[in-house]
Amino acid sequence: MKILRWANQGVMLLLGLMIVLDGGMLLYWKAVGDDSTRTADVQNVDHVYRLAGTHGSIAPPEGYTAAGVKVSIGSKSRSGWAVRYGTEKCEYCRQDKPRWVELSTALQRLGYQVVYIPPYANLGYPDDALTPSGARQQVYVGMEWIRHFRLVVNPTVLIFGPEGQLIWSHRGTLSSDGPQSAVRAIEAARRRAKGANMAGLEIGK
Amino acid sequence: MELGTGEQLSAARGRDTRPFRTGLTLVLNLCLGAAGFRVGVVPGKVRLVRIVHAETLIGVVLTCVLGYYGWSLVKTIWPSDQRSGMARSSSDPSATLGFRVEGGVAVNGDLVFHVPPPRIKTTVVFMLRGASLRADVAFWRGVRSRLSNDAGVRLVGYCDGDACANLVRGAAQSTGFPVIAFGEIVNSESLINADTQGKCILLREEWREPKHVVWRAAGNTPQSVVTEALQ
Repeated sequence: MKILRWANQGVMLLLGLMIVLDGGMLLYWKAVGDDSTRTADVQNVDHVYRLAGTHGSIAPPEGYTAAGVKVSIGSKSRSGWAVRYGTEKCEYCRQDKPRWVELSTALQRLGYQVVYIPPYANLGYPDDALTPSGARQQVYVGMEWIRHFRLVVNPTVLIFGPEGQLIWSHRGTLSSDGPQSAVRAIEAARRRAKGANMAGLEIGK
Repeated sequence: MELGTGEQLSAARGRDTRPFRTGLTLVLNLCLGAAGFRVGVVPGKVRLVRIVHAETLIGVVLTCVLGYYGWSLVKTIWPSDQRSGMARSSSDPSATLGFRVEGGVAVNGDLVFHVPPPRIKTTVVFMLRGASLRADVAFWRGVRSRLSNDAGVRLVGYCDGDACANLVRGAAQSTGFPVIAFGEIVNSESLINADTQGKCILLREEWREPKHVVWRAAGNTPQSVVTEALQ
């Protein structure tokens, strides 16, 4: 009977230890996960460039639809443009849709043109699934643009300023703060551009 | 609850039943203990007694809670494998990338589909660089001239940018093979990565993965690519 009692106590002790360890790991994982989500929007833009030191102005992508119709970033988008790399077939892209809709609506309000780019031509979004209204899709993209970037994660969002400088990027699903973070980056870029213009005017006087 | 007796069986066999009882009780207790039961040993009989241990119940509840979180974690992590499979244009240039036979838009604006006609066994995809376009085109014209029409090999070039596309468009002489200026992202990324290693990509339907062959290297001739393509 002593053996049985020891066995019972041993099992309970092991179970208790495992519960404590699991609980600790769960709390650690949640803390790390939350932290990475918070910092995810402050990603190093180097990750999306193919070559280091190419952080200059890059012309917007030119491309074609699956039907062979040319799609270019219009001259109307003086504010800038955004690229959404993803596909409806990707689970993460579907999960990300509500936040992407929020961000794309904000981009439209700010005068940004949105271009969708799928990984393969046959994985493109149906036209009626593109948000905001006026967004276009390029399934065949100019090599001139592709060679600058490494698009390796579905979904990825790249936001470019009016001069073609990358001002915000995010790989993976957007966090709850993602859309606001992008808008803050756009506003900060606008303030910098305005400041630079004012400085230019001062020098010109 | 009475489970049964081992007395008669043991007596018939003429053995000492104590080790059997102790072993059986230990195993049963280990199996049933977590469920709040304990096997009681009464001489000649084995009884299952319900003993609700508070710590056992707490353990079961906590295990369920942790199991729920564990399952949630597995469900969260699982799609990342699907995602990486969807667009495997790895940041590691040496990785084998998912070049798929699809299509593109040629320098003249024509849609080019890579779906090969039945007589085509192998498609060779390569990058033309604007900076070395003349030499690149000469190399691939050399490859083409060494392939007979019934060799079942098709060549498809990609321009690395606008400079190359403009030069090809404006050239008086045709390259002799389609040159794509607008491609699908994963295909284009795959080819860019291969080209940084001086390689072209060979595609054949029966191959599970594309084959990468070095062509931008000293000593490599069009014949070496032809040999690989015809293998």
